[in-house]
Amino acid sequence: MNAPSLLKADDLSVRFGSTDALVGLSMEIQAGEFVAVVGSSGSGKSTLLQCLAGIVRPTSGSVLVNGERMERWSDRARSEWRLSNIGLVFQFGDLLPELSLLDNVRLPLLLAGGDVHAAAGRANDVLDRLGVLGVADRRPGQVSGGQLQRAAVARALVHSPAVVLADEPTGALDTTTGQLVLEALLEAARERGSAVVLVTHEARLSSYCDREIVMQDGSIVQPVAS
Amino acid sequence: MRDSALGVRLAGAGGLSGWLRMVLMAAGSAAAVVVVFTSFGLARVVDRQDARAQHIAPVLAADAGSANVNAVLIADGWERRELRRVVLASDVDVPTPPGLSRPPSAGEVMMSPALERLAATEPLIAGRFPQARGPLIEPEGLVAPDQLLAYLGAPSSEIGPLSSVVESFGDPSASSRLDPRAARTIAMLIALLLIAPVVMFMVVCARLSANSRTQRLVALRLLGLTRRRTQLVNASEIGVTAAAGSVAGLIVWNGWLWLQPEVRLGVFAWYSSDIRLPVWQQCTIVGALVVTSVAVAATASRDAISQPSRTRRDRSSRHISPWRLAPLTAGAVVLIVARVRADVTALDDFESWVLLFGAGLGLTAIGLVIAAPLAAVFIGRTMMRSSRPPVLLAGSRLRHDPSSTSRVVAALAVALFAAGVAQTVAVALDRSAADNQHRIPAVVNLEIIGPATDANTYQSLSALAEPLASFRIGSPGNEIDAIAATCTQLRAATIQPLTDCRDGNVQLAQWTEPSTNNSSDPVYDALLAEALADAALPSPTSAPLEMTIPFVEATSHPQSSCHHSSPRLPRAGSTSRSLQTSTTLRRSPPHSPHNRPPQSGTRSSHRSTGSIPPAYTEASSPPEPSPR
Repeated sequence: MNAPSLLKADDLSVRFGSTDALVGLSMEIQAGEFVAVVGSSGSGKSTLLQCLAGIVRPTSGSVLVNGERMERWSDRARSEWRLSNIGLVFQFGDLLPELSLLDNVRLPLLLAGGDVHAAAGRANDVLDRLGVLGVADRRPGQVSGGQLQRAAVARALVHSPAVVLADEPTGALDTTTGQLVLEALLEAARERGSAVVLVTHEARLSSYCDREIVMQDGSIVQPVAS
Repeated sequence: MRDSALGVRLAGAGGLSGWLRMVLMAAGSAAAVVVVFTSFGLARVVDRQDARAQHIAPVLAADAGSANVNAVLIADGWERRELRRVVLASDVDVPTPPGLSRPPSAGEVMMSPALERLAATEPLIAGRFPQARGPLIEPEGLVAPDQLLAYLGAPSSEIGPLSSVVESFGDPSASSRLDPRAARTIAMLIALLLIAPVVMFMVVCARLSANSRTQRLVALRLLGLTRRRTQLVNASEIGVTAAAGSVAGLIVWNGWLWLQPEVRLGVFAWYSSDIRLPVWQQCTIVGALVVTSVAVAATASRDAISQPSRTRRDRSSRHISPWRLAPLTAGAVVLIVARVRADVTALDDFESWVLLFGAGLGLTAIGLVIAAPLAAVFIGRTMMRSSRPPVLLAGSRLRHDPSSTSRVVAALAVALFAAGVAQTVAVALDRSAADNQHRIPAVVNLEIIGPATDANTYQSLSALAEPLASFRIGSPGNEIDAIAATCTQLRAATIQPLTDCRDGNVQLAQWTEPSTNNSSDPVYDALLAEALADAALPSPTSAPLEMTIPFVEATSHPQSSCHHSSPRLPRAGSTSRSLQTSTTLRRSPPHSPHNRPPQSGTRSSHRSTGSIPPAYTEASSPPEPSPR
């Protein structure tokens, strides 16, 4: 018997006005696996990620979390689930520019009701693991793009989420830095046992993942097992 | 971490720029508090001064038997201000006036601080109060710090036949110098006119750095904060800034009032305690302003918080609903209704009309701000038709980010509005200051409030220094205003040197007015000759005396009712204090204030306070009923 899927998209469709962002998409994510979602711009990759995170409500179909249909949850339930179980990394980091990297990284722990000092300790550990502890007291505007993305990765991993959803995390970085950030992300996720869904339009990055899903016009066109 | 603590943390976070943003927003709140406090305070001043006027008003006995009289009430004037004297009998029991620890003794004058300051700089005023100076009247006994009031002591034998019986002080039927209802209505209108731009100003302040705050909130939502918690962070961030600013404004306002016991604004003056709002009212206003700021921020961030993904993907291309025109349309309709009703509204309904007009004004002002993005979108679309890249880019910016652009426009509009109001106030203050420079002493405008008796009795009142006689002679419709006085008295009453004045002569007063051609008028001369003949007076024997016109100016004074009547003249053969007098004459213009019919009222007044040569009294018209 297969292990139960952590997240499952079942015939997922999302429509924005007259545009179909996702059309009858189905997929599963198992615990601890790394999945690359590739495709051209506008193929629906980011929408899929936001559906999986409970940020966007599907027009039809379902996202199943441990067998429960997420669209039946309240906004509050989805938000709380996301806070505890999802780590998000975006192309531009999306850290709060007013807070230091350390404060940004420990924010998920604090928002979840964690102790301030314990949160700082864990945040320091992750920052150290990702090699940006030295700039932990700087604000996002005061560090390089690579350091910023490492901090964003640290924020996504600090609470050991079940799934890390990364939307073009290296899109704004040069190749070398992007590769370093991606390796750091995958390595830290592997240590914590987190599954990773990596959305990218760079096909070469999919080589780091267990599985690749190719999307086009809102649908999966080529599910490939590594 | 508590969400509110995160909000507070975010309020000033971000280094220097964060602090600057917070200081700007707090300064906006502080300014709003000061303006709203002042607006509400002005309305309160009206009530407080009314209460003060009632507190110090003497309660007169209905039946003033001559055995009990103890006071003479005298209304006088200086420039355009009322100078009130209350002469109290020093040898009988009289109530202690408010603001004094005891009644004045005989030959003693107790002045208000403003009167004392005036007497120190104006010899003419000092000449009216030769008595010994007693303690000053405390603020408790004055309507306003600029009130000219004096309590004088005199033997009851002098007061005897004159006057009133003051039973006590504190007449609830009395009112302040302004009609309280009209004043309150004006204050309400001012408050509405001020509060509308203040609300706009607060909206602009609360939306400072709105885009970056929106992105912060979106980031928190994406992290997993619920809508409610995100709004709590937002409310805490705005609330703490607005509260800090409001408290700062509260401290500044109260501190300023504490440092300035008296507040002056042009010709207006009041005690700080009168404009200071009660603590509960201050707290309510501060609370309301903070809630307004939070509500503005919450409303503006509502879409971003409920749909963070859409905001993140397309943060600037928000749909601008045409419903934004609704408040502006409603405001315009209310203003039109107010305009229509203005022609048919009775004075009794004036307050509700002011409320309607103010509501229309406020709604229109706020509607302009709300509708501004629509205009920005329209302008942006028009500009995007251009083929010139700069215009195209600007149009695109307007089209896709109309809110931030319109906020700038709204801020400019508020700034222009504030500058306009400030300029209007400055012009008004400047004009009032210029008016005050046109100084016209009005010694002859003495008014005795109380039962009418003969003028000679006033002459005997030691509390009045060097009284003049001003009266009207001739037959009805052909009358002349005359002043019987020594040249010294006339010089004291005007600002001209009167070098041609000769005691013992009848002289024509050439009243000078800035806008009047004082050249000889044959018609006037003929009428004057006719009146002189009618009054059995000899023709003027000397050159005309140029005098400034105390009468005309004094008619604008609330207490100048004495000009509406002919004075009661003294009995023939009465004791005369001025043995050698100069009489100046002026014919009453057909439609001058002197010829107005007597107005109803409760006071009787006398313009005449001096002796008049018997020869003139025989030619005078018979005494008329006392006006007011």
